[in-house]
Amino acid sequence: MNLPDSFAEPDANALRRGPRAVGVAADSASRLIHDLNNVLTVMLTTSSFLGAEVNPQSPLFGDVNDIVNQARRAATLVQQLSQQLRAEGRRAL
Amino acid sequence: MHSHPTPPAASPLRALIVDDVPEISFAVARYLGQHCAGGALIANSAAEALTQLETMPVHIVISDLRMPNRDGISFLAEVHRRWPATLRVLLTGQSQWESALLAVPHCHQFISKPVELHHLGALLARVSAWLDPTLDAATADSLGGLAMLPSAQASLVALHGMLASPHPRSADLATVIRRDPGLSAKVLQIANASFFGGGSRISDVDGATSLLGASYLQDLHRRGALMTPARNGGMGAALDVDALARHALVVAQTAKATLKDPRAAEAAYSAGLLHSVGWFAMAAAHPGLVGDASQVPPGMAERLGAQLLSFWGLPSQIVSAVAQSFYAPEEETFGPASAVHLARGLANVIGQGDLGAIGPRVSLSDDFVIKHNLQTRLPALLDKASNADIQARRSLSPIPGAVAV
Repeated sequence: MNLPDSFAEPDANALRRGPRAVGVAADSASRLIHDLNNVLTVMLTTSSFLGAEVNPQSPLFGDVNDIVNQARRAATLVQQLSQQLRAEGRRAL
Repeated sequence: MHSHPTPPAASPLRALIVDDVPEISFAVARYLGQHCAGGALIANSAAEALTQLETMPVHIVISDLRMPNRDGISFLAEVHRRWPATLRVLLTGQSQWESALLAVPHCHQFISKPVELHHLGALLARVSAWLDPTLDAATADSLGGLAMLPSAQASLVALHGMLASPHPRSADLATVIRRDPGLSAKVLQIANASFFGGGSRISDVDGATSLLGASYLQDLHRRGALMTPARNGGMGAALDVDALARHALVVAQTAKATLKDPRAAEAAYSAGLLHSVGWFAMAAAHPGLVGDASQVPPGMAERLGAQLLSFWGLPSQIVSAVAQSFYAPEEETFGPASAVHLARGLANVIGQGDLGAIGPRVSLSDDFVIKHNLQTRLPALLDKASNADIQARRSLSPIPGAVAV
């Protein structure tokens, strides 16, 4: 899978996209969260397709569900990070 | 550059997903392809997407925000300009709140990453339910291109004053926003983005205003993405926006008064306030139709309004109530749709004239009154409608000499 590297140099639009008064650290965090969300999107969508193919009686069905549930849990944690970042951004304005 | 028009709504639904991560675009397109009869296309950059749109336009574009070379906001702004009827959806994370502000004028809806396929499915279901296959291209472009609805002058002046103060309270802002269809529609649209609401649907304007918060609304206002006076929208020139807002407020307050359940009452209020927004799309596309009731098929403005609100991601309960507000709704129990229909009929009786002279008027059938056992309640409800009319005239009277924002 060819996902972008969050810690690469910011591209030309990075400053415009990032929280304007929070600085480079917040922008890096924002990009990291963006990339984590991309990883989780692939996990959630792919496991959803897999779950639709697996017989519910199969032991594999529980394994797929575990992947989905853990990905959702990870997504919740990322959302909490996002909210924290958003709140910091608001305070900085 | 010449653009092919958006395909007619009657043609099989077709989507385009734009994301620089191929695994995401492939997975989302795979899902969309199962639900769109016309299939789903993939592009891994904005440039690639524009090339595809020039040869094969689509009904729905879903784009990632962060992409190399050209971001999703700039891309969707161009789609807005060249293919206005296309539903534009931005994929964004919660941390990108300022970027999302920039996107508000160009996007109909926002979906949070990580994307869950059932969220996409719900979006497709909401939108496809109200796509009108009979729409002419001018009306479809007008409807899809609307970024804001014009607001009543009194609301603009009051809200501008509040937002210019250093620390406005959300509750105070809500008292102004909930009186105006244009402002309420915009606030509900943004609050229903999964970016904010986490996938839950928000039907009440107060809750939406509180969720967004005063500082976010100040940011939106500074960027000119919250409200617009009638003169800036071509659609406002053919309509008396102040009169339309007063009428909407009467219908909203009366509809709310007919229901006891607080949530249903708030949904009825919102639907009542928004029941006439379809006129803005019609007025922009065909200003000559406004004011000539014989030229407008009964229920057409309501269907347009429903499509507009479904594009904006408002809850199905509100959209459905708007769509059904002209004719007596078929719902068995008295809910928000029946409440708005009843309120429109009562507004007509008290002389609010149901949008004055701009279109067909609602009349309450005996069957509707009997079905919902309304005979004995009608006199009291008429009093409520009359009181709502007095309040609306007081709170939304034009302010002589005031310049709208």
